[in-house]
Amino acid sequence: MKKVLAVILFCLSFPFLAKAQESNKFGAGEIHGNFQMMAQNYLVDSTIGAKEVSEKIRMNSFANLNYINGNFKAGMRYESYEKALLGFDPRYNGSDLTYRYATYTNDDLEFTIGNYYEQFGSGLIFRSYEERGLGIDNAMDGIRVKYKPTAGVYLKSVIGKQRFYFAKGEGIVRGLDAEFNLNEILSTFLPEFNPEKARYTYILGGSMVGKYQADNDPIRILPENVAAFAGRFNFISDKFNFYTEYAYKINDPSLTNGFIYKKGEALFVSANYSVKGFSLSASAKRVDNMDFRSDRNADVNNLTMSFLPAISKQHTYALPSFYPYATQPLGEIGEQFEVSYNFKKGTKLGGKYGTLVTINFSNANNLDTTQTGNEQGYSAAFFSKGKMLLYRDLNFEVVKKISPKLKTTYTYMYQVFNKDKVQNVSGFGTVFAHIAVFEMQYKINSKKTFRAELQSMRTKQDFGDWAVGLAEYTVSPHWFFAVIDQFNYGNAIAEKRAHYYSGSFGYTKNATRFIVGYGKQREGFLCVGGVCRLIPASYGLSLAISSTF
Amino acid sequence: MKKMKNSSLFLFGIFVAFTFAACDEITGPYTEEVNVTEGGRKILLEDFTGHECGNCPYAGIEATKLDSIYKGRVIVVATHCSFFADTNKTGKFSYNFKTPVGDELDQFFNIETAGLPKGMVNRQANDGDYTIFSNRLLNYTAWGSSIAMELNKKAAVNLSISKNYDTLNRNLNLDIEVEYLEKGNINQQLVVYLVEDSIINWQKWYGHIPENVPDFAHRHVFRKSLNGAWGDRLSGSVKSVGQIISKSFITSISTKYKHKKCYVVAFVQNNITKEVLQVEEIKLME
Amino acid sequence: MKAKKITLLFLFICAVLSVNAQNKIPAVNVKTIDGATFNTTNMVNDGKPIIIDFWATWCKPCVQELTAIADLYEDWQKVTGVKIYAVSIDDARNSARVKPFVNTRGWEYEILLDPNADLKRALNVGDIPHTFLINGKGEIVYQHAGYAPGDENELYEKLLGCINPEVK
Repeated sequence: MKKVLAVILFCLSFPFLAKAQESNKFGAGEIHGNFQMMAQNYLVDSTIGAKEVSEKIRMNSFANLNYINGNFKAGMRYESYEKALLGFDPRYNGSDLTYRYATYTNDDLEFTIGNYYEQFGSGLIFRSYEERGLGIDNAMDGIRVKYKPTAGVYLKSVIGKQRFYFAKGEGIVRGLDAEFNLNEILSTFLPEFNPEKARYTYILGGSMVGKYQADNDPIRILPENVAAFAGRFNFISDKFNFYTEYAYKINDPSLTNGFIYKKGEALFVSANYSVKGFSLSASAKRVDNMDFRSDRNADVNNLTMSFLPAISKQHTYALPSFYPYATQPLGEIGEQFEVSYNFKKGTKLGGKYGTLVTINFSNANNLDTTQTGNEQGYSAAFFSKGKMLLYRDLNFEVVKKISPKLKTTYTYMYQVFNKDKVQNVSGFGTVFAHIAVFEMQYKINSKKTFRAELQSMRTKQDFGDWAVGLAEYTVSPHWFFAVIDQFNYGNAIAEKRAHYYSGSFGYTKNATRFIVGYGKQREGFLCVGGVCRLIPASYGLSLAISSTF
Repeated sequence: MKKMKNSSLFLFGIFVAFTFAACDEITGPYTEEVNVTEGGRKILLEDFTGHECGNCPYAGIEATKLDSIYKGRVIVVATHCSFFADTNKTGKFSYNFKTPVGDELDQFFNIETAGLPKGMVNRQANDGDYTIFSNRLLNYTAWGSSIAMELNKKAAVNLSISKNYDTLNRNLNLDIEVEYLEKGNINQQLVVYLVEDSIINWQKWYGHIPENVPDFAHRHVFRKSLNGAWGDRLSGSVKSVGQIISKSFITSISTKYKHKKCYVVAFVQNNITKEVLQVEEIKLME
Repeated sequence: MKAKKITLLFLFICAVLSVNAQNKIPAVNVKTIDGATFNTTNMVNDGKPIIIDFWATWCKPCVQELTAIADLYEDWQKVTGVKIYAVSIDDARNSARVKPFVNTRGWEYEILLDPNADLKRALNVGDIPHTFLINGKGEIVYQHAGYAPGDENELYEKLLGCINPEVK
């Protein structure tokens, strides 16, 4: 408890420190940062399966401090898990300095030592990033050099080890990325390619990433140096965009692919056409054995190097994101299409204020594989789709302003979710769900707004039907109050037809926020890389404080 | 200005040379022979599992493989724990493999939260922070490497077990001798487990046909501890090299267990660091 | 080991206490929606104010805020000459959708792409939406986290407050 108070006080002192500096005039250096603290109290509730938590209160917090002075930057982050909130890996335990760096920039050269995040292209073979709320952080610890030898040529080189909770993974990661903006390069001799005036932009890029991990396995002979290569091309014009990236990985036997020696490949293509008021997009992806990590024994979200995002649309409402799709790195082939049209105000379909209609469709299947019965594992024809449907999502959204005070959104979705395959469980099969959402926002006056959502999900599988109701009242610029209830009225087991209700209110002043919540949260499942983890249901009071200074 | 550019280019070039990716393409063979040396330290391999954990059979297969390759130098104990080992009232998955000691270990090492299957090799910290006990947990593909490295270390104590088992009244008398090969530590404790091999019952197995296997042979199942989760202190004083401590145990084997398949696993662990120093096993009936 | 680290942290803080809290935008490379590399040192607006708004296509309040300001942007520009940079932190999953998303809605902002959150991190942004107001001298004079309908009015008040009364 004392430790918790100490951390809170420590973090709250920063804004005061920043204020104290204003009168000084030594050099031109500045110090800024942010901090965030989330604490939750856990109560027992047998109806939702919220079990007893011996610590009663758990807390996650962190603070970033960054110093800049001309060409020099340095900073650090302190993280504290006393204990980590439920749902976080137990290896996030204790308090420590988890990130520190120093960077020097000079015209065309930037040199960083210590920790850094980086992405090559769209991240197919290398992405080091953080999503602190999900417990994802594979920060690099080593050296990064960025160099621009001439106009239009951008080179990056990285070396280091990745973060593994409060320690580092044993694999050494090395990578090189080169990006060529052909317009910037050619504009020195051919003025029509000048990026300011050119009608078309051409970008070419390539990367090479390798990892080294010693082979101490007594039985298997494993490759210690595994490399992956990727090439990308981007064409951009005023109305049209085209992007493609291809990646190739040599043999990488690991826990997640069952120790097969097959090579890996990924191809991503996307194209879109847009003008004011209308857009059309399409993208396709094929992934085959592309789970690339700096430790071959790592699982879930640990020590990943490749970033393979889902081909489906990201939803924000509660029920549409109930069954979220995640890319199957071992093998999938998928596509997404979207058309969006803004019917202008005054037209028949546009109404008085305009209507925005968006139709989106995404689909993912497994690969058409044939088991080879040897160390290669399987083979899969490049362009053929497997018979198993992993995910399908067809959604329609209409946003319409009814009056100056009232704005409405209507959404209908049909989702097919192969729960067994995507969540690596069994006995649940494929879930077919019809989801409808109605949202309205009513402006009471220039400062007060009332917003409500009604959501419904109808399905015969898994936990059955759900209904969600949400009401939010905001008073600009400081206050908000919200209540939400998720009701599993359609559960086949009568005792499990629970209400997951919660209420919250918050106060914001500039860049500081305080949010207090109380209520129940349903359990979830996280299954990645052959290991399954339960994120338990919880019930209690929560407090979140965050600030940027 | 040009000088700056040249030196920058040079610096970058040097750096690129360091980061150049190398490629190891393995074209076969894919496995190698293991040289198992005699005597010395034995390794405790714990496999945390559950009958509804569909990925766990793969870990079990790896444990059995390591057990046979290392011919007696690796001792496997499979502890069933977490919600994956919860039981139905009747029918499939109704056999209770859970134990109070198993639950205590689950809580202490946070095994359920870390996800199953998970294992520990001599419960050693793998160069992580000693105080974060969940750092001990390893995915099954890392067990072999960890065992190979632990076997290179010298044994701190020698363990020998002698038993007297009356098959009619099911009474077991155990005499365990601990000989110090290095100076002793008052935190060293002796733990005595009872393990039963090949319990035939349901197990979920992803990728197997059928997925729910009714007659799966559960190997090395942890049944109970004779002296709690962490055992008894060996001695209140620091022992010197060559000294021997003897401990005796008397227990009755429940009729629930098939005593032909039972064996005792005794190990010495440091109760502060929680690392295992030495382990030995003996069957109840030869 | 931990005590050593905390001491280091405090020394770091003490060493830099004698600094000037000017609050300028750090120099970071991001991309424009046309694929060109854009360095934030080029965020200049002829001595007129700048607004930086961090958003993402999946963030509802962010889209609400940018939609609300879109109706007022023309007027704001006439009165203050402000330039708004809408920095999207959409990662590789959604970054290809940013341009069609913006065009369909007819937004006139300068869109920047920050797929690996480099600029977001450099400005110490936590959750989005997060808005910064930069005056004509390049100093951050106001920032706001979150969005409630009506917040654009407070932003406009702060905007009016920072324009140089001599410049029209």
